[in-house]
Amino acid sequence: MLEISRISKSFGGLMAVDSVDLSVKRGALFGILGPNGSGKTTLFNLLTGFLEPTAGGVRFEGNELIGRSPEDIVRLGVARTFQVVRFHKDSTVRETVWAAQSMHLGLRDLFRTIDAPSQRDLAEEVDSILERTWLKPHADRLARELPFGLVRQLEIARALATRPKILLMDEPASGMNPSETHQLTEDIRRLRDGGLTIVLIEHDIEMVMGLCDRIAVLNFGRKITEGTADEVKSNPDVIAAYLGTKKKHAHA
Amino acid sequence: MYFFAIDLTQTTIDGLLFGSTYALVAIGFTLIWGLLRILNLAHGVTVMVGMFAGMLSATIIGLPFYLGILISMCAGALVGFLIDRICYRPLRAAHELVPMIATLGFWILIEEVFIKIYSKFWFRDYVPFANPFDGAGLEIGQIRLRGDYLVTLAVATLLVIILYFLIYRTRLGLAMRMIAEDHDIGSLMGVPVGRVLTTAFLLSAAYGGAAGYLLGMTANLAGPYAGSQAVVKGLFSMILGGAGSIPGAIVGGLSLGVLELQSSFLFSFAYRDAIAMLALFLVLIVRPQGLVGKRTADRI
Repeated sequence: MLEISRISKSFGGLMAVDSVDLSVKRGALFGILGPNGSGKTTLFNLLTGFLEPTAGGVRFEGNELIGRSPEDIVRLGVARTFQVVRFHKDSTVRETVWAAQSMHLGLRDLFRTIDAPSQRDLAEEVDSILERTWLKPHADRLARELPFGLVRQLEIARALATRPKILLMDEPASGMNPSETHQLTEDIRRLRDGGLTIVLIEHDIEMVMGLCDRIAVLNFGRKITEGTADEVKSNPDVIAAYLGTKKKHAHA
Repeated sequence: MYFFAIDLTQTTIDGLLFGSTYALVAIGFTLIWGLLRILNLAHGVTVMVGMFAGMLSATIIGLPFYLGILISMCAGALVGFLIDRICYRPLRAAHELVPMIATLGFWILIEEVFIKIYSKFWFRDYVPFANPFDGAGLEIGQIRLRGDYLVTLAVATLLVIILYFLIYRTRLGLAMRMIAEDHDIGSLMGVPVGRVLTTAFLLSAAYGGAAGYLLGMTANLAGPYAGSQAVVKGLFSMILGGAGSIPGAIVGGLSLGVLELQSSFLFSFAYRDAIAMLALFLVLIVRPQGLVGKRTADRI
């Protein structure tokens, strides 16, 4: 579904992403692991059109993504959540999801109000997304007033509203407490079971190991290995580059 | 003294009514400024094209007022579409000054070409613009409200109400507010930035077109330099009120209307623009963010 071939990005002389190959199959829950600064977020920025790669290509369902605008890429079905969350300060939770729905809509829908009769299907879609992301009881609160854990959920809700086929999640568990992380793990699994392909960036090893069916490990911009959780865990390079130096809870 | 007070009131009211045209021009500027931080210098072209589309429909074809306004808005919107496609879209990745210079070029090019064409058809600086409300009016005691000014205010008010509805109630408006706050983040919020911005250009230009019609009608004249004048008046109003703020554009436009007529009345028509500029200068010393603008660039 998503084919990344020999993609590279250098900033000045530094290779942030160095000739990385990845292949994500439809329905996969793919994890990208690596310490901070290993090029994970840069890789997402390349996939979503925020950065132009120095070399390499990305194909999504047969379409080349490199050279397209972030907007086009979202429209093709590639959604993304961010590590640093930004919201419009005067919008409610419902409005935020409602606005994110606009990507696929025609001009006529843009001129409709949130409660217009012709918009009932779209309003129901918003409701269902809010329900799935535990935001329903907070729908009419301002987005900026949400507690941190729910802000992360709103990120996911906003991404879902763009009707993605694949969801790229950038450290969704960062800043979450263990029970929130556990809930999030369940949510991600449920999204995958609902038919969504998911690529997850994390430095929380345990979360990725427990959740993902395929894992790639990046270090200094290079992919050092790829495989199932067990394969990755026993790879000596991984232990040297990541686990060995940082012990088990590697919160870099 | 009594008559002076009456005249002063009359002038103020005329200024407020007429200032609504300036407010419409300033709204067009402020929409694009608020969303993109681009000074759309080609905005005057929408006013000029709106004015001539109105002149053609009102004077030459003889269409009724409301149809003329609609035609002017459509003609203006067409110009807005071109501004988006020529001056903004291809250059949006460039430094923000680049699209602004492109709008400057667009303005000069279109105006020069238009003046060449204009001078083939008409041999005067101005052509008459039919004013169906000429001579009509409303007397309230000693004060007289000119019919065309009242109509102008009514149209401007209606357009402002529509704009507020669009911005605060519709999906488009929410998307615009999101883009205005954080331009880069729009598309990752799932907002179709390109489409929303095109719509904003169309809207801004349609309001410019309506302003062109109203300016032509109230002056009974259409001239090829109307666009350049509108750029000056619109920018003045926007900055006086507070750039990027719609209430600011309204307050700025109405204030400019009053300022101009009062300085003509109290001093001399010759000093009209000088006095208005002096007033702007003084306001900006005291309130650099404009009369109603907020200090921390709270846009739209």
